[in-house]
Amino acid sequence: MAAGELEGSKPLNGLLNALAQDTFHGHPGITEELLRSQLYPEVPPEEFRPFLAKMRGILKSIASADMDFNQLEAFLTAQTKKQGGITSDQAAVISKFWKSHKTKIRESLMNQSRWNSGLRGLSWRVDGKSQSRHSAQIHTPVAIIELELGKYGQCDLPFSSSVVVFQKSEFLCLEFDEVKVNQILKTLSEVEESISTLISQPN
Amino acid sequence: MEASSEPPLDAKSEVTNQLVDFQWKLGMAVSSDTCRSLKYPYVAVMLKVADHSGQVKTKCFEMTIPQFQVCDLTLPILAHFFCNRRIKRQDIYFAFKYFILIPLGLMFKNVKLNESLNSADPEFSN
Repeated sequence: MAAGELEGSKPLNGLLNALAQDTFHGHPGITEELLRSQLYPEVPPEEFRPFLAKMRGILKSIASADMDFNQLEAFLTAQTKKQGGITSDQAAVISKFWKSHKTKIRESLMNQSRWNSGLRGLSWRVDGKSQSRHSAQIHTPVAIIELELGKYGQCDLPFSSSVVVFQKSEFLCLEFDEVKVNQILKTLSEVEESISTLISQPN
Repeated sequence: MEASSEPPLDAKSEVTNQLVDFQWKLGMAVSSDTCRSLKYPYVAVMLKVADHSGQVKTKCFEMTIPQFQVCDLTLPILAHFFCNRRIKRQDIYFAFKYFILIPLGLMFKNVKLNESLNSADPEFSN
């Protein structure tokens, strides 16, 4: 019977990986038929479809709530008790999957929710300016900082839950003298102080 | 050559910009349509920069806390080498402090940040 073939842990782990790639990491080309033929070839499509939807729903619920391990165990136990839910073996596979993939999935969700550009890289160089068009001799150090800013874009694919995330980089080059560098350092320490205050608050 | 009141930094390069203003805010992303429980702090920055023609543009971006900490770590190194352009013994000590001691300290700080953010929030539990 096909239902028994839906309980294998290895194909389920593969399915969860593929669902995570499709739903959170924006990997294109993961179709229902591909998953069925690769992971559950003996299961007819009309049985595989609701099973896939159920697993996708469970994974999205867990990720959306950013469940810690206590919440996860309670949630999965409830899923095993409801009619048309999951088996204990499936719950164990899902639990193990979430524990090892939580950080990466969460990072993708954070990236998807960021609509401004993000800081992707920072490089710097110190130059010694010796001459310019207006001054014959100057000996001032100049700091050059290059910021790489990345914009996240999204578009919907026909497979309704798929979102392709692509990135465009913009490079911003800034020139600083010693006074400005010290001003920036002072500002950064103010930010650091605010972050420390936030972390130390009880809520 | 005529006397010039030109400032020492000549921002005529077509590549580099001058920083005019730096504004920041610390925000907390709580929830979104794709994720009910985001709970991550971020630093939003607005830079006003002047290009070679003097035109001022605004650039906005966000950083996660770990990304901000990389900046916070990197710029003091820049400042150090800004004033000390020959490698000296204190540079080696400086590099040890900033590349080994402080990252270790940041690792422990990040653990504490993650712990404080992952503590159960009744509003978001099932």
